Amino acid sequence: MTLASFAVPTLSVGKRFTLPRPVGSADAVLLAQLAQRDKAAGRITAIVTADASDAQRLIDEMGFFAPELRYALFPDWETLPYDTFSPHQDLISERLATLWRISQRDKDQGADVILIPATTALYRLAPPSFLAGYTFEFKVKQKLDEARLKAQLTLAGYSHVSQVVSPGEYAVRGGLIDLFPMGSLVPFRVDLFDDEIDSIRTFDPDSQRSLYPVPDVRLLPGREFPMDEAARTKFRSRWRELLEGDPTKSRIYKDMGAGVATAGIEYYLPLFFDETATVFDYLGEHATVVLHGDLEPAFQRFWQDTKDRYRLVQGDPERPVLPPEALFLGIEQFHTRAKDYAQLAIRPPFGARRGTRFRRV
Amino acid sequence: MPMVAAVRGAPDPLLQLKAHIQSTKHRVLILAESTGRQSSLLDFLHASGLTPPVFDTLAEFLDSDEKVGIATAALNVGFGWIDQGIDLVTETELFAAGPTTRRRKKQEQVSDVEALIKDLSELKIGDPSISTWANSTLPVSPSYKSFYTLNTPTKPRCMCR
Repeated sequence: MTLASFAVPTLSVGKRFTLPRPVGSADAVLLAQLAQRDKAAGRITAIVTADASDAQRLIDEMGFFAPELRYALFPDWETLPYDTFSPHQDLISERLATLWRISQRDKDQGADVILIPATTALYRLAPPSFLAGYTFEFKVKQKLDEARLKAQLTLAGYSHVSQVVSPGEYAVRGGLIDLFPMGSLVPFRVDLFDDEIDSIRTFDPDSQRSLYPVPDVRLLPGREFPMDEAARTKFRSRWRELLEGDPTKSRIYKDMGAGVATAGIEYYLPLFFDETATVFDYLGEHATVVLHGDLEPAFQRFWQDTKDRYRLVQGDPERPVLPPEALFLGIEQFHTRAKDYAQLAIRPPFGARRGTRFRRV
Repeated sequence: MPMVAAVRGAPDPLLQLKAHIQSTKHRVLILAESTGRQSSLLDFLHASGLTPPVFDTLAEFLDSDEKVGIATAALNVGFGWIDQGIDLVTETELFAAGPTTRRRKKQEQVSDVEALIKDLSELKIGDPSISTWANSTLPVSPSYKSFYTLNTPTKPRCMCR
């Protein structure tokens, strides 16, 4: 179904067109129309929402107006900057899945519309080459060396457990390998016959009983950063380069040498890579960026809080911290990056001007 | 657009909605947030003499000529869609409640009694109901169940057994 009649004018690259936010949930209609037009033109629609709850709401509502489009949420870590614990594995799984789906574009498992909470869009990310290099797939009847697979899983940051219940885990029992790939909603049980994959079936993590067979499995990396030898060496050398103080005083530094990622390692992400990326690098050239709601106050608040937290945690030899600029995009930088795209801003209306296409019920 | 909210305790709680359907040039699509809510909303509408046909998608309703329809959509707040000549009425307008956060946590979907009955005006006389505040006023042992019959929507009468 195509939603007839256009409320959004043609957008051009480098320009920002501003519309007042329409009444009720009518913003979902505008954005569904825009996303349909973008898809027809081979563009992805990235919607940055000032309010995190609007991102989920828009996915639900746009799906009603344009059910043929494929939506993906890029969720927040739900930790505060410099927290000393790691995000929930389900969130990392969904984030990696979304980044992967953006890169798939018009392929089967791609996405047409990406929803990103504003402050999440400021986080620096692993470069797209990391995701491409650490994702692997295997099929039924393919040769699979158990020892090599285990090495590969460890490399990708999967943890070896006795019973698989959440994404990023695997278990080996004889010729059976249970694994819960990141970005997957269900875990898989791989049955090996000698060194050949005899079958791959999904299973229920609660009852641990096999469900239905599938032809192949895709494994996204278990974390948002690599954990192989080379990456750990890079981490340690960049630590010595960028952080002050005696590295041997820090457990995080020592743990990394032993191959352990300490809780809260996410706020050391730039140490794993020569250069970090942003969500814009994943979007590529052909995209439209929608700025939904009042982004400025959300950005200001985030940066103020982050700077305050930085001041508080600074100076601990056990946990030296990276400056906020290394971890997050500045507000200016965000807008500069957004300028490479056609932009639509949906702002809360000033006064009574509401537009004439929708009315209050 | 006038109010369409249900009036609690009135002989016909949906008088305002019916008046709106009569007077508007727009077609009206009523939206329930889930299929479960849709069926209880349908019971409520039937009791007021409205029998909207059920549509699976928005496209189906747009293609039809029906004046009134009902569908399932997770729309938070309704609006009049002038280009298409339809009014989308959600439970937010119907029960004049603030737009609630309807998002449920994916992993922990628990059965939520409040999601089953949105508004007291939906309850009919004779409907079984268990009060959540029964524990504080009645000595209810685990084997005991207390039922109430609603004489008026606001004054429950106890029929403890």
